[in-house]
Amino acid sequence: MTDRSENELMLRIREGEVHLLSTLFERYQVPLFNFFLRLTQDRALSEDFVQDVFMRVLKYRHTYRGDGTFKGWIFNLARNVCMDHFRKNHREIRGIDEQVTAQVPDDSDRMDWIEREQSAEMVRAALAKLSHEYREVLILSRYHDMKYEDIAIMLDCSVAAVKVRVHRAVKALRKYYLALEQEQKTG
Amino acid sequence: MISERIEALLPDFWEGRLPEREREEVLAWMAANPAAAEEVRALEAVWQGLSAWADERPSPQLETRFNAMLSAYERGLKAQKTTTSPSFWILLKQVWGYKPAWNVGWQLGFATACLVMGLGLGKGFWGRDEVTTHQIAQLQQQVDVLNQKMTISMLEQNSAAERLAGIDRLRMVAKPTDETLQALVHTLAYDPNVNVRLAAADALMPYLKKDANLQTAFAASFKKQDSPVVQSYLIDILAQDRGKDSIRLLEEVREQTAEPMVREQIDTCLNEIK
Repeated sequence: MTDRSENELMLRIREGEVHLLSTLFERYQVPLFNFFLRLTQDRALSEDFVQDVFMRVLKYRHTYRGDGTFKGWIFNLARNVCMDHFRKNHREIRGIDEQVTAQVPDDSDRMDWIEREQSAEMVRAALAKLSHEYREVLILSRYHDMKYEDIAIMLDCSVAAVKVRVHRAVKALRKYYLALEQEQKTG
Repeated sequence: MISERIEALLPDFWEGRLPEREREEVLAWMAANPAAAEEVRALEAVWQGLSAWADERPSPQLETRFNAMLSAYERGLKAQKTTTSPSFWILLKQVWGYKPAWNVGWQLGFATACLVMGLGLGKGFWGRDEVTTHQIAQLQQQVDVLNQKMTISMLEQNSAAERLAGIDRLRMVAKPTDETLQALVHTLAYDPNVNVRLAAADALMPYLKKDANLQTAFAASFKKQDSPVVQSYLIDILAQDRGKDSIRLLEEVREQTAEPMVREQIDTCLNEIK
């Protein structure tokens, strides 16, 4: 689905064809879920957040103007859902949710899976240590292929500032990686 | 030392989407700064390593919940356009078409069945002795008490399906106690699930006319609603009530709300009442 067709769908939803939201849900439930999962590392909370985002799409559909991308708009709603929650609950990542780890395969791919899972575990642990500001910009740019222009609008800063922030987030992440590796060696 | 200019180019450089001229600029800078270039390569490894956390899928319940929410919203929109407000039960039964986990329901249902059978057998219900009207009334009362305990207990469950099933159970109760009605009012005001709040509103509707305190509590719960669907439904119920408190509350809400659709609906209802 192109940016344009998503935009057209949302404009029709704004005009009252709310059943069309199912199409956008199909398209965005997984990206949004993963956005929240990487931010919170909590599956149940991430699902609640996705539901909340779509409720807000309905609630604020009248405010959709269609002058940016739909993706930028919905991720902005997602960001607000997350911020509202943390503001109310005064906390960030609860800790790595055991459920985040996928099921262990019982076939010959097991060793590959373990290796991949160890790498993924390192990513989760290092991301969890990043500040919310860095984690968010890294997730949006690395996992969701968001245009820097969209991220800049979302974060209310210049495109260059977003790129610099991404670089600094990677730098901070490397520091945590190295610390975790050190912990593993000594522990 | 990496300059801000180069910092801003690196994410696209790692992704391989930097325009040729800028790519050459980064490569030239790396050639001139071997120590910094080493750091850039190490950071690139971190950037690429992020792909180790692959996308995961949410549970199927997410889609079920979404469909429930969308149906309820569509129903709310339709209700706004009509003066009648048909029961949300039909909707919710469609919405929650799957069989819920009746953990508490089974336990208390079993207790109810035991009570009926016990009283029946004790009074010779299935025997030759006739059962008096008084005995049947007593039996009904006991069953009502159990059903209400079941409702209150199910309203405290984590699963929205169970909470809905608990409210559904109230339909079997001839005369709910104040405690049960208060539990419903609390659910209407604070339950996190829109469908459960709608069901609670629907279940309270028959008792509103008979109880002024309940009317006040019901009206007060309006201000706690953030969902336009629930607001819309409550407006319908308050409009049907036509009580002075309800009209005053509708007027208050109309002044306070920023939702044009809510204002419009209240205007329509107030015009009809007047």
